[in-house]
Amino acid sequence: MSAQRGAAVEPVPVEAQRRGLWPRRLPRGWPLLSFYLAIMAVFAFAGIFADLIAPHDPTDQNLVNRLQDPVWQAEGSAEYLFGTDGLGRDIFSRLIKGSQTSLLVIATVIPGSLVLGTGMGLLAGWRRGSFDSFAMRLVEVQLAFPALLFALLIAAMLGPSLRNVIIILIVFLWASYARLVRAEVLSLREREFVLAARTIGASDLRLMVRHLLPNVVNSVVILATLNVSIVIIAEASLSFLGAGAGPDTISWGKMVAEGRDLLKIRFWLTGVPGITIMIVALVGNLLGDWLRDYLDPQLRNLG
Amino acid sequence: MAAHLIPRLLQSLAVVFVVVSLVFVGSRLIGDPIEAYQAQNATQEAIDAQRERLGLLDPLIVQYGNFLAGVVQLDFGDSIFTERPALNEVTSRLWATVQLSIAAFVLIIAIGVPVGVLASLRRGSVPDLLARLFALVGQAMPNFWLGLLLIFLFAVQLGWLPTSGKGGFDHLVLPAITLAGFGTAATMRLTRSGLLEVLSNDYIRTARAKGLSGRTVILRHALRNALLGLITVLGIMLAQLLAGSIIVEVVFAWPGVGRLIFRSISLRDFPVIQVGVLVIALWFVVVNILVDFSYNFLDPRIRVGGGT
Repeated sequence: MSAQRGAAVEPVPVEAQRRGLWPRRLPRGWPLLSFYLAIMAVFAFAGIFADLIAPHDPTDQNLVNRLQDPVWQAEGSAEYLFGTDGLGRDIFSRLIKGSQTSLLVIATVIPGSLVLGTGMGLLAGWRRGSFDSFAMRLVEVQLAFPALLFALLIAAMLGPSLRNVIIILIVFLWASYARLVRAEVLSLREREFVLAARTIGASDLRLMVRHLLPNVVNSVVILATLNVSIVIIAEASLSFLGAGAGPDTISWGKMVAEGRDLLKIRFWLTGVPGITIMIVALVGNLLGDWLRDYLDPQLRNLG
Repeated sequence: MAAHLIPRLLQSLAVVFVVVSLVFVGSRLIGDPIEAYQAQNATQEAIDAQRERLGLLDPLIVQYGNFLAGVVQLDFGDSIFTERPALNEVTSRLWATVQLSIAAFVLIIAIGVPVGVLASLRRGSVPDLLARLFALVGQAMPNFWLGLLLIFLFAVQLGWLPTSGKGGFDHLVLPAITLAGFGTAATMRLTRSGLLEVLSNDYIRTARAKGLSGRTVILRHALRNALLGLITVLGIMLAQLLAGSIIVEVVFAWPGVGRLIFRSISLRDFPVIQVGVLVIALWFVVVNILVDFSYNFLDPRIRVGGGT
């Protein structure tokens, strides 16, 4: 009894107070959360099953049906929900097919930049020394570079293609993960549990993967979620400028560009894809904010 | 001060050098510019003569050496497209872009900062909710779409402002708002969160307990500290504006450097691309240095070199 009382009570470290990714109860604000998740689910579903659910062939040109009105106009019909463009292609089907492009870019760029950046950050923060200064110089150069300009140059060099967009975005997004993870590792490496693991002979790899990585996972997931909107907007912007998706790929950004000529008389040709980009980006940000509040309550309300 | 300044400048020069070299390599990879210009029926001799004249037949390393020598003398060669000096092509459009960037930057500061302050002081109120909503939407709005939306609303529907091009002050309004949109939303959000964080500090409570008026506490104690973090962000935004103006200039047919670079890339006009990118890179570097020094100026704790 007395021995127990004598033992120093370790204060619970801040990281331990943060909640894990998998909750036991419904989290606070779950109705809103499920609303956001539902929108993202629709987006993902449309992207994955685009070819099955699109009512028309999105590339099918039909000059007889060109510039049909959307369903909310007097002459519109449910046949072409959002009308057709100047070549008679169904806007709704193109929108669905376009979500596939956005989804593909997100599904490659987010994991790609996350793995690369987290790996670099872990190594830089743990090893320190010359690798650290090299990695941080690289991060600085990266952040001091106008990304859009660089992307335009690459597209001009190699031609517009989705593959190039994906590579460029990974190259530009890894730096933010590296900086975040390095900063957290720098403080984690001084902690007792790291010392303990080292004392019992854990290898560098084991330390980084089993001890450091789990402690930075929350921050990385938050950053990744917030990056979804950045990726969507970046792809759309590049495609809008003709430096993104290739000529055979349907992209929301390209749809906005295609509708531009008819802006004055048929605003929805640019409006529909534009609003779609905005909604998905907005929900991505809201999800990221929510996740940050949930996983890291210290930061609540600061966002 | 100078002891700190010199390595910093050397480092910046190195960044500019890397950027310039990358652009040289990049623009040579775009493809042969001659293909884009020669008349359909040009003879092979004419094409070769043109290549010879532009130095495109030299080994790449020689071209690079000539290019660097030219950069030092501010001679970037002539635009392949207009055959006027590339430097003049860019500088003649620089003012338009700077004008647009300044207008956008003024909007960002004049709207983003005060609204952010107001939102944090009246946390949870209707203005706060509106500001947060605006910040959320503003950060999710791609600027090409914001531009088209504004054109549709204010130029096409209401007819208040011109759709595109450059002329009087009214031509500047929509492009400036479009360019400022994202930055204003981000600044608002960061000002609000920064100030909220500062206001939760002990020294703010102390200042209040001393009986200082609310205005003094906020202006003299809280805002000063919140500004510090904001300076870096505003610096990054100012640097990004010049590059970000590419899209806005394309949407509004604004005759600036961004649109020139965009056009030159599709025309493979190497010299113009090089000067344009160099100008933007220099802008980045200069703004970053200014941010560094404003930091030293604002926060005595990190003031370098001259301290006693």
